[in-house]
Amino acid sequence: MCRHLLVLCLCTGALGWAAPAWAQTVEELEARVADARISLAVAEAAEDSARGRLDSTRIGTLRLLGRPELLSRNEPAAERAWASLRRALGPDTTIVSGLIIYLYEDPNRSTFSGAAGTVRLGDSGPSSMFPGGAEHVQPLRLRRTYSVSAVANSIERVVYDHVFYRVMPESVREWLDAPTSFDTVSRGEWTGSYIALTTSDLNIGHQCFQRNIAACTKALWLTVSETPNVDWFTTAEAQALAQNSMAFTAMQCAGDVTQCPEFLRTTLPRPPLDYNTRQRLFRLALEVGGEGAIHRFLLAPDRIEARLEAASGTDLGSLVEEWTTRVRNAPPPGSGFSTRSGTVTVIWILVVFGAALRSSRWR
Amino acid sequence: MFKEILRTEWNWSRYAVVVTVVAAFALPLVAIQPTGMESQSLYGTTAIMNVMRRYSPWFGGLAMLLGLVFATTTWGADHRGHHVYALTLPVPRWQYVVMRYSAGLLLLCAPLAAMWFGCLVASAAAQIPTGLQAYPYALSLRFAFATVLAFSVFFAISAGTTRTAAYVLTVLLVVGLGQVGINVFGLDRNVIGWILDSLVVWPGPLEIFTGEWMLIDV
Repeated sequence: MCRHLLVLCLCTGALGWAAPAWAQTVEELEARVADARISLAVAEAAEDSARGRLDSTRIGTLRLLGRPELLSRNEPAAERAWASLRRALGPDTTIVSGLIIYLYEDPNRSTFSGAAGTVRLGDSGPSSMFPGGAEHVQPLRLRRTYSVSAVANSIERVVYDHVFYRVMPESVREWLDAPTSFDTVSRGEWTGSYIALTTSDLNIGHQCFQRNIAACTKALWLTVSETPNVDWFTTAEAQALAQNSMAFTAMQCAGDVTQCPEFLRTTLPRPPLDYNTRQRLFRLALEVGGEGAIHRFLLAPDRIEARLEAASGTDLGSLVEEWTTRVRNAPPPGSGFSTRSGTVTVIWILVVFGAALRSSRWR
Repeated sequence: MFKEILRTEWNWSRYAVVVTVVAAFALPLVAIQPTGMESQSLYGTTAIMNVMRRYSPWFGGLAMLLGLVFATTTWGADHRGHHVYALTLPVPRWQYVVMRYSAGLLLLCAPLAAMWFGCLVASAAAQIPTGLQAYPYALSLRFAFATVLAFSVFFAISAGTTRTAAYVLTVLLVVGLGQVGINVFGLDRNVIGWILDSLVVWPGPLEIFTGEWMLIDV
């Protein structure tokens, strides 16, 4: 309880301190609150360290920090996570070496003192640790009930979020739009892309679904263009988009189709497919490329199509074609009714009917 | 004897049969009607999906209602006559129940067929954009399964005695009071939530009612 109050006070304090000087948007405020939470965990680590209760371990280039019993209990999970990361990374594993993952469980402590007092809010945010190869401590809260695979997934997620995504160039981060795992895309995820394509509001999405590779290349934002909206939207679609905007260029476009290209040029990019769809192409490239795909991806020239080609070892057209094939091969079951559901219903009907047969005529 | 039971059940429930046949036939047509206009718009795919989602609960609700109406009318006359008629018949109880159930199911076929036919007509009439498909067979089959399940549940409840109903109510009361007790002692256990999940999540009995009922879907 006290700890929750402490977190609340720290976050509120951080907000109060940061808001007038720094925070311009809600996103910035949220980022600062997240930093404050991280700082709290780092402070706990410092306190543990000061009291001699902290140990560290290294698996490959993956470094873990935490109480000895916690480290030993989660070592199998860390090894599993490392094996998975190693497969994705290929020969260059040093990229992970700047990261230290601090494992902790809810400590249930009633006070917050000692070495923790030396840690100032905002000093240990993840952004301050990159670039330059400096070390970055990233806390990872675990629960006692977590399975080995859950802990392994959490460790992998921390590495994906705080190493790969951060070291990637701005253009790649803009394209991915969010941290992603490197796992093989599951059938359910392909089905998600199937739905995204077939329910797309733009014609280019439907063309892509019809195996038009040029349309897919545009829809997946793989072509470099100063005005991507112009590539994605038809004039009619631009006019429909303009109906929902109060911008001057939008109103011009709504009244005069010749003004729509100007409206599209001045509007922020609105990709026809969401970032999940693009991330699945990225993960497919890693799957096709096999070992070392990430390494090749990072070393390739700074164009997303060149990086994907390098990672996958194939040309972009073949990769996109494979992507469309995988998407089209994963249609949803449709109408929400399955054989499994029907079978269970029949069983329940028989059970209930059996209960009715046992009723008595004697009232 | 089955013929007589069927005839009497028809007499008791013929108005319900007619009304439910009309409702079952009309529902898919009503659900598809707004899409005629919206599919012409630029964002037709999303519009159709949203319309289908809006009408989705009506299909499950109608299936439940059909089951309730037919099950209660099946036993209604017996309840009113204090089951004297059933006692006078020279057949064992289980045989009588089977005949009542079969007669109810047979009458239920009319609205189920109406739903199937309505789905077919609605699918043929709808302007379906590229990428979407109509599922008249899957939807009407699901509707049939759900209706028969609801009919069976309400049939079993209606076949029971007052004492059985009292037992069921007592169990519900105990569960409710138990949850209150758990909350009072500050334990982090949601028994009612667990029971509801067990009912509606596979392989729970009501799983077929959950999820979306989409005549037109991806």
